Amino acid sequence: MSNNPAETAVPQSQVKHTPKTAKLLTRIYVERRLRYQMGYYQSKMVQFENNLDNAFRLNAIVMTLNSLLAAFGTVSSSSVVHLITAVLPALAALISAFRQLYQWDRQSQLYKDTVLGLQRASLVLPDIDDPNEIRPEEASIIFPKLVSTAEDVFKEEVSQWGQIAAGNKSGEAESDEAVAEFAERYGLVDENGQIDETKLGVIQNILQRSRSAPSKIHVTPVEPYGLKPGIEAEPIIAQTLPSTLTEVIISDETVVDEVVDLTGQETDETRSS
Amino acid sequence: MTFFINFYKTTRKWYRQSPFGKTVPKYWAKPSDEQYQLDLHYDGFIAPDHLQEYELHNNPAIMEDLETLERYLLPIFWEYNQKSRHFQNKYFFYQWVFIIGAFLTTVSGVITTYFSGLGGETSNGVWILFFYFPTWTKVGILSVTTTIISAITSYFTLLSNQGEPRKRWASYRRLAEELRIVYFRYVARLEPYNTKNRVEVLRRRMIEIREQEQASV
Repeated sequence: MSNNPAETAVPQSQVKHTPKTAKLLTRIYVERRLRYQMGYYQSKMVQFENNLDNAFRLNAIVMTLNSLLAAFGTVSSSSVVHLITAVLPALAALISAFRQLYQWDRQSQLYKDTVLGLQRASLVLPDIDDPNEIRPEEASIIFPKLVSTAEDVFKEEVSQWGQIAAGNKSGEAESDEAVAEFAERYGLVDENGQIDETKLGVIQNILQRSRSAPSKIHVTPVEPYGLKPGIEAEPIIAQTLPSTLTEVIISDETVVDEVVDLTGQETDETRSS
Repeated sequence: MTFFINFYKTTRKWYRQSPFGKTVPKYWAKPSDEQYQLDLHYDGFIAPDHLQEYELHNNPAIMEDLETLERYLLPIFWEYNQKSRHFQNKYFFYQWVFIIGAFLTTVSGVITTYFSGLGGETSNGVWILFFYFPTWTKVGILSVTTTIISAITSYFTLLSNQGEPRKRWASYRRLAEELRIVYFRYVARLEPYNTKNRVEVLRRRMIEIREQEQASV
């Protein structure tokens, strides 16, 4: 075996896995990637929900105690009661600050969505308990589909998780920012600083399509909407979108992976050359 | 009662993950081979030594893919993974200091107000840090304490703004997870790793990821 795998011709040159290898990899993938990650997410969900419940209950106890002491303070001259009544809201604020910091509810929701996504991705697998029962020929077809769908789910999770950690912005807000940046870059903003709605619709169509499209989208026609031909829209959208899209090319020529009409409908006319 | 037991267990677990008393180095150092295989396994990658039942050593196609990934992808993954953990710990450390500092400042402020309401009782001389104050009042001592706490809190808050630990944590985590996705796509020989020059494609992708790191961190 060569020290440098780049120099190795066999079996790197073999592009597709043999059915037997595909079956083996399917088993490993299900075990080490899908089930392992799902187990991790589920344990985290339980932990976050427990933390959230505890923080909520503790806060409730503190606030109740505070109300009781405040009421008691009206009939008592004890200065200690007054002191504790003044300190308890600070304690409630402390608990809320930790809740805000860790965002257990959002994290838990995010993991829940990912687990659901992974379960959806697992539908590619036949209805069997043990992946070892899959026939090798079947595995050759299933394995790439399974990996592709599941990894897209992970990509979505990574992207959303990044948004939470990077600035507490919602996905929507970040997407709006991306659209605005895109529009500015390609001159879609009018003199008043507003994005033209028609052009925005065009962008939204592109974005919409990108969620289910392959890695490249070629867009045509361009002129009626004021988009300049020949622009390679550098993956500014792709960076911010949790999708399979890595490139948007706006051009006169239609080199087909998938052709998208700007109205958002695929047509025979646009599916060309 | 169950609530209190659960509360104790959860809080203890949560506190164990707190950033206090935990140092996460910024740079990754490769552990012993045995530990490395274990790390690989627990981080969700394919570690042939821990998957004996699959007999991966008998499958040259998979083994060579794993070697390629080991050579080009995993060192970057471990590096980013370590940096992400380091900045995450740093971020939470500063946040904890800030939150607890704000709480203590409020509490000591409340206590100061409480004592000032009782009137200024004069005490004998007192040492505060390296300074001796011959006559002092409780209110005075508490006011100085409040000032010291808020000064420490402000110091750490200022430090936290330098180096943007949250942004770096997020960026490195994102890149590390991106690498994990590339890992499995490569093993599955999915696009763009479904060509004869896929090692080259992978190497190019690693350079792109390095460039992304330069741009985002």
